[in-house]
Amino acid sequence: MDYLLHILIIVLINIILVVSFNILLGFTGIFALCHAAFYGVGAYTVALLMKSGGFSFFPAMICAVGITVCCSLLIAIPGLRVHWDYMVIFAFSFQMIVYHVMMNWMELTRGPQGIPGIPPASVFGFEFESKPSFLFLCLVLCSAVVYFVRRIETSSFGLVLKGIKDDEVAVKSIGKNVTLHKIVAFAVAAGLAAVAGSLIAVYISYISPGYFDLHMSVFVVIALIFGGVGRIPGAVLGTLVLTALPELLRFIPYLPSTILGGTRDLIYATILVFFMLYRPQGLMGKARQ
Amino acid sequence: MAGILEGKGIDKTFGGLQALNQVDVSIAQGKITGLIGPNGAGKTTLFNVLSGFLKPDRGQVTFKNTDITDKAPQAIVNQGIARSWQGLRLFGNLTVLENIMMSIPRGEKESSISTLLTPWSRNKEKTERALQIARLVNIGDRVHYAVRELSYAEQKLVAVARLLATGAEVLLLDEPTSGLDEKTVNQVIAPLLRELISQSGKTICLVEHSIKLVFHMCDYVFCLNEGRIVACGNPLELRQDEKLQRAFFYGA
Amino acid sequence: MDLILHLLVDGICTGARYAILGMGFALIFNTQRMFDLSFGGVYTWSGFALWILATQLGLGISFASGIALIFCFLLSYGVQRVYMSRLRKRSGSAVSVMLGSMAIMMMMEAITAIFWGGEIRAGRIGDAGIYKWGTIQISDIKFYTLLAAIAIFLSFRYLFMKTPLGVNARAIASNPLLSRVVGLETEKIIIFTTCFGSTIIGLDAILVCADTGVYPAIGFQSMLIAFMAVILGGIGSFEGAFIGGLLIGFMRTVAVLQFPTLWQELVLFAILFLIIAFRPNGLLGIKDWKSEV
Repeated sequence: MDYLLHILIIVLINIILVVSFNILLGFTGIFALCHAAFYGVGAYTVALLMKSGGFSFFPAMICAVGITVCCSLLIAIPGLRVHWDYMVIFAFSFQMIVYHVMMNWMELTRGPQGIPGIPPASVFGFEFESKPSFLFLCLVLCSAVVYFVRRIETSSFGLVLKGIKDDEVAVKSIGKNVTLHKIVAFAVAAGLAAVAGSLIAVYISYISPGYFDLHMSVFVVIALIFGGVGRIPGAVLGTLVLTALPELLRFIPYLPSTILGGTRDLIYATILVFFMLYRPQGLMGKARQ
Repeated sequence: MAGILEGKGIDKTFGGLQALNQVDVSIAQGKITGLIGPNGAGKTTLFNVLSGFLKPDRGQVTFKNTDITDKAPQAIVNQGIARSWQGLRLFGNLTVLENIMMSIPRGEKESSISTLLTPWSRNKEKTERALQIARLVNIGDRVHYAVRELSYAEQKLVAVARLLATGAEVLLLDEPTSGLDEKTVNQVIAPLLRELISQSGKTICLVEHSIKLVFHMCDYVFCLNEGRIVACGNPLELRQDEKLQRAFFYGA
Repeated sequence: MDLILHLLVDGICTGARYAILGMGFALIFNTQRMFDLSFGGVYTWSGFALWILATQLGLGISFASGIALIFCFLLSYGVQRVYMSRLRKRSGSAVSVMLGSMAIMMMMEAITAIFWGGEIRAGRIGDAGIYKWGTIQISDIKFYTLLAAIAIFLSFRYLFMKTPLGVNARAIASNPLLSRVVGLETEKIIIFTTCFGSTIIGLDAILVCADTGVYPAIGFQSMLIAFMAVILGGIGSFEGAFIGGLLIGFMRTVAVLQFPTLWQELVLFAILFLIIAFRPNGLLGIKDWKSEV
């Protein structure tokens, strides 16, 4: 039972990640492989503020969101001076840079040893220590994020993002500032990823760079594509399945842990290979022409 | 008299090819101006320069006597010059209504937060306006269809609707009637253009292949060939020029 | 003085390796104009193929290398025909190609990891021959790498300019639409040049395996380097990729000296970031390879 709660919590946190990434890839068509970096920056900020700075959860989370948004501007702004295809490269190098900073900036992040002993989240004195209570917190935040992204999807802003995915030049010809829209999309997606980061930091209470590497960014992409790019229900479904799947693997007897990692990666990769060719719209997406 | 939109001394070269060579055009306010010429003459390139999508190598573009040569294309649209595309460039996966709605400029009452978070369908005013425009171009009954589901002719109408929705006072239409049947052209497009001039005070510039339409509708015509303006004048004058007749207007 | 000389030689050797990677990828990218990263997976498998042939099956190193190279070409052909070709036809978008090829690479590396785990395989195969000039000495493999890099660079200038395949490949690179119109079988040419490029890259895999060993993730890391070499050298320029590779190799060698080991990687990525931000065309790249309207 405890284990089930654990999986649910991870699923909810991952949903926040994937749904926020949907803003970039699903709505706007920006293939930015740096979502795990935003996730990590959020997590580390919360960890440091709460552990060394004595912040409580929500103020730390808000700061984390703010700092992550600033980081996203670091990519978005130069990335938009050049042709947008280069954005992919920017995002990717940002991911790698952040990972290496996390690994090497010993004074701040303790490198590969990570940051242990993050205090549990508490709001107005109530500590979300137990799994059920933390699950509740995750549920609340996750629902809020999904609702928020849905509102964006149906807004005028969201319409323009979808237009950008289709034809940027046409969007300019109807008087919309494409660059500005992309910057805002990046900022929002990054901020929401930081929310996920805040949650994982206080949940696991010990974070290390390995969790926020390229591998994680790719996972987010795969979950989205699998579930259905551009569709929020798809993002939720994809995340649910892909997060739960490897856990099921654990139940296969006699599977040594070395093969476990490889098998998991193989399943993810095969799903991506298959879906890219045969069903690029994912499980729940609508077929595009 | 200076036109509301003018290009002066426009030069544009691509690689080794000179697409525009010392082009001077003047689009008169409240009138329909035509731009004709054979394929590859540079008509679309000129449109691209006038609307800000291409920067000329030399020359100047002015709007109401203000220089707009270096402005970003979306800024030019907001100032009042909008163009349609030969290749339509509609948002295929969105509905007709969404395509039109997107083009309507943000109202003064709309805050940034609401643009980000309020469902667009809640804006009654805008939705009404979009429906109105759709009816004007005769696709009122297809507004909820995705654009890629429509026929080519219907899509062309959506392109015009989207252009109108921008609210710009100068409309540049790139081949609005190619691919449309004569009935639609005569009963929908032509009256619409005239109405835009007389009722809404717009200024229109057409790139067209149909000489007949151009002569029928336009108050003034520029003839472009190999990047140069080879003739300009009102249709009557041009008709009487024999050399041009042979070069361009066989069949008109 | 000795140190500087040593540094120079080391830098050139590493640079030669990276130049090979860069040139291979430049060949692939310049023709396709899209990021087909599947060569990363082919790289890993080629390296492992050599390891299996040379150490598990006990074939002579030269013979094994030859077979591994052929295997590399065929494998690349298989990947293209079975997957990438279809993907390009189905959905020609840049994102799809990049994602799909990444997926293939991931899949191939995952399979390798399952069968052989993550440790480094092989290491020096056969005895190390050493070449000496004065105080400089380099291993035989490093020497071969140097020769290979130069040979590839020189022969490519010829191949690209003079042979029909080269000319066609360049035609497709500059104008894919028109190429199809005049009857060039673009897909076939793309497949062939991609296989060629992947094999060049595979050559490095074989050399590296014989020298220091292979592990599943090596394909990905080599892919990154190839990628950076092309970006630095300039998109669209084959010579640029050669120079880009050399420079990155040099920078890496110097970085080892200047920065603590762990920061080296970061320096590379920071350089990539800055190049794209300020000089996206790289050193020798063609301008305007992406047009707007």
